[in-house]
Amino acid sequence: MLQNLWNGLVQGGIYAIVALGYTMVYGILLLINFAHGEVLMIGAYTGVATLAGCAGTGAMEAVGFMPCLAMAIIGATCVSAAYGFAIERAVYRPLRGAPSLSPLIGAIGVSMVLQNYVMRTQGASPIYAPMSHPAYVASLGASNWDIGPVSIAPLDLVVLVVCVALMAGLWMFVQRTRTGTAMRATSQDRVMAGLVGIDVNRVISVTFVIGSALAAVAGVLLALFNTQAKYDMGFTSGMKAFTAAVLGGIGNVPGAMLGGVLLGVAEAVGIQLLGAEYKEVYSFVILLAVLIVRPKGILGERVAEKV
Amino acid sequence: MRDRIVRLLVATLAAFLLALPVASLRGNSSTGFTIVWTPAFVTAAMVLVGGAILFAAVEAQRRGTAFWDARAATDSAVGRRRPCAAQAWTLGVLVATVAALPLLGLPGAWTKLLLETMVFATIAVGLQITIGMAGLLVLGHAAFWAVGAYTFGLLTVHQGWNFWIAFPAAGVAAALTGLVIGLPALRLRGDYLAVVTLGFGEAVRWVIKNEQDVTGGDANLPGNIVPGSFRKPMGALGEWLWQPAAVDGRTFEPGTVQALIDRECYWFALVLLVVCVACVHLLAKSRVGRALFALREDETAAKCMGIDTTRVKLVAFMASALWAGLAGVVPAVHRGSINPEMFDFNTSVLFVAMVVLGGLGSITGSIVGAALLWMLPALLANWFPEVQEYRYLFFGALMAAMMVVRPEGLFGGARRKGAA
Amino acid sequence: MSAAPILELRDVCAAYGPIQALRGVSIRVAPGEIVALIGCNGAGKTTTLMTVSQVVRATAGDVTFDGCSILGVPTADVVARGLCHVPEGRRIFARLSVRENLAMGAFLVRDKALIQRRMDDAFQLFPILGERAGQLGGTLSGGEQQMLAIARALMLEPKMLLLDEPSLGLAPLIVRRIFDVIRSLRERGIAVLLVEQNAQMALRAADRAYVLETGAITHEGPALTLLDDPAIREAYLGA
Repeated sequence: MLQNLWNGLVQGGIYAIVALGYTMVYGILLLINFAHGEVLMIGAYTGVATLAGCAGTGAMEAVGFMPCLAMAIIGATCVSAAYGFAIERAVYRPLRGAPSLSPLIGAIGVSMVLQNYVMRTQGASPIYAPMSHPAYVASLGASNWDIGPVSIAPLDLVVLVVCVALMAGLWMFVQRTRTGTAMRATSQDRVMAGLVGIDVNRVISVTFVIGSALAAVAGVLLALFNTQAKYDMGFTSGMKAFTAAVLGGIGNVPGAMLGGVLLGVAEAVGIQLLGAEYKEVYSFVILLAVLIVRPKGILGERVAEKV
Repeated sequence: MRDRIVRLLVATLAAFLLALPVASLRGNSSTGFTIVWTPAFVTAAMVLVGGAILFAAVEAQRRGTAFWDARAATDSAVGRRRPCAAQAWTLGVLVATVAALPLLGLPGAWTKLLLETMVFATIAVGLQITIGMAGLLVLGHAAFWAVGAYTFGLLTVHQGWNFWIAFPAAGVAAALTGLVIGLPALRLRGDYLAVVTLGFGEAVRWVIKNEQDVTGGDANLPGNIVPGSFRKPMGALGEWLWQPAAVDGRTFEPGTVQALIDRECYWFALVLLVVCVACVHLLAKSRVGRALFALREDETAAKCMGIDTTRVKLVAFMASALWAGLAGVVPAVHRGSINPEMFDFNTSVLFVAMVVLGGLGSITGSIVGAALLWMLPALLANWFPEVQEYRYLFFGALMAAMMVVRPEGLFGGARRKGAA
Repeated sequence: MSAAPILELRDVCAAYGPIQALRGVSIRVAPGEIVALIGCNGAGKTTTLMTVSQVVRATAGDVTFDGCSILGVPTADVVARGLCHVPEGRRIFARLSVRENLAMGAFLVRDKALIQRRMDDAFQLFPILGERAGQLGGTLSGGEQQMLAIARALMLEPKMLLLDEPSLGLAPLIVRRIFDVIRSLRERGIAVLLVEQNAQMALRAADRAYVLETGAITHEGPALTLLDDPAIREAYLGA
């Protein structure tokens, strides 16, 4: 039981950083960015390919696993951020101000294109991270630590540390910096933000770049967790992350973090109690339950707005 | 013009650079990095050609718009309508021709293709109620199709129910499922519905996959050989309406049975489509239909006019599900087997693409959309087998491009979006 | 009116879809001058301001600010040139603190010390805002929000302010306070284009005024002259 909760917590950390991307975009554009999961998948592919390539060229033997992982994450971040930026420029920006169904359908279209594009070019079978490489075994492949009934894998710790660091970093960025405050202002009133001199298009681009970069990190971690990257991995994780965002209160940054962790734990409890066959369904049931009981989510709408 | 060419070239270069790491770069843990250049170049070429076509389309549309707008304006000003009788005649002749095709020696492959197209057209026209009329995006419509197909299959195969009871039961089951999903989701902003239905579609597929004992799991419905009772008609009327091909005892040459089944299912699908079109058409003209259009344009205003928005949305949603459920019967009978992979997310998106391509709110559009998206790839695959594999890539691109260039679809545009 | 105008609209037209909202509006505002624009609901007052700050694109005519045309310039750049718009309904960033709201007003200023100095000025002009500096904008009262909206616009030390219905929904006492502030802008040399339904208040505060009816200017002149014009009195002042 405790073991399951721990696993759920680690998984939840990953959901949380993906959920941040959904929530930030929704906060500003009121758009569910369906392509977000695909951006994660692209990050995962880039990351796993980098890792595998490092293993193949012997770089991993020379410098060890962790520097290669860092490189994979940086590479994935850059590629995904570029994709996020390009998607917004090419599809969402022309649809700004159109009736709300149009951007949504456009987003589905983008998601379909990316998924099938990767499937066609990289193949329908997964690509594998070099988890049997001696350098990996020497660093993260070491045996688990047992603390009481819970067995903690080194990879779990890496995932948690990265997730916590990213969330703290994002929090500081949004709360303390000029661009972060401009992002919050834009999400509250886009026209007014323009009237005080904020370049709204730039803020939106920054939002997409940051959200996509976070998704890329999550994608690499997820690929390590599952030892592989597959073209449809973005679909399921995207769905779950969106549930997490709704659970926490969509548009709300701390809500997304909380929602992600809660969802991971809830899923673990579900597996413990009801079995693993319905793993994919729990998040959907949770989503429905949230919508029935508290549609604005746990942290949604904290301040009453005066008109 | 110059500006456009520059933009297109920038987009092409961007596509090439974006494609490089994702499509061209391969990492292998024994051989290291390799770069396969072809996909990146192909991607860039596709963007270049596709973009050029888009620009041409936009240009043509801009020149054409003035003409169309002028015509629409005079039409509505004079209150002119196309003569009703002529329209009815055209429609009648069209339906009769399609109905007569199998008798005129249509090859089996064509019968099958047309039949599938009619099933998809039925679903697309039904989906038009939620997407086109009410403005609600449904991303799990395949699930209602699946509920209909499996309800029908289980009732006939396992319970031995008569076709004419199991057939409406399939529709009702789908509509009720719509009620269960719609109740929580429809109280909220429209885009939640998209995600909820998406999740629902996946959940249904997983349930079918996991409940092996009942549904047959990843394989087909258990006992997928269509039993006699499956097709046993109800009395004289049923005998006349549904003439079973392989009824007990009668013997046929090998191959003829399939041909007969094809033909009967073809007619059944045609009748279903015609009835569906008639019902949706009447719905659009009815009070509920006007309420739906009001809802699509402005939900708050509709609420203020005294429309119970949740109820109206629910009606639309259930009506949509009903048609998908009824349409689910056809593949069950025709193929004699169904499996969960027929009802995946791609299929749901395919339905949306049909509606979007045809035009939101246009019944004709949905039928044309279904025909284009289902028959065209199948026909092209005769010469280029790889077409089928790239289908969904193309559908996605088409949806996104359609939204940017012509959001009202091929046949939309009767109701333009109003002032900002 | 011999000085070169800071803002000039020449035959500006604007439309929402098929609806023509402005049909050739011409307005001149001299530096440091307070000009009122009055008219009924739907006359096009707000649209006029929106076409100036380029939120709505003019379909014909020209808008010049400080000698150059700003037609088609992005809104953010219009603001950067020193033309601030305080829109109708105040539009405070409800979930940003008062201090953050003011900081957003000075978004284009990168010098932190300068921002702090201007913020102190704002708190001097509106002491109540100083007391509420840490509070979220959404928790302020209507009058405080209006003060915050004006203070936010002043953070950029603009050459000109566009004020849209500053008295909307406020108690008379607060309205008087707001208009005192508007008059004090004249001493700072900030030109104001003031849109108001409360014609009486607006005409008393302004140097000159324009009357807008269904998208076109019907009267213009010194504010006090318009205040005495029987036709205007009957139509807009209810006397």
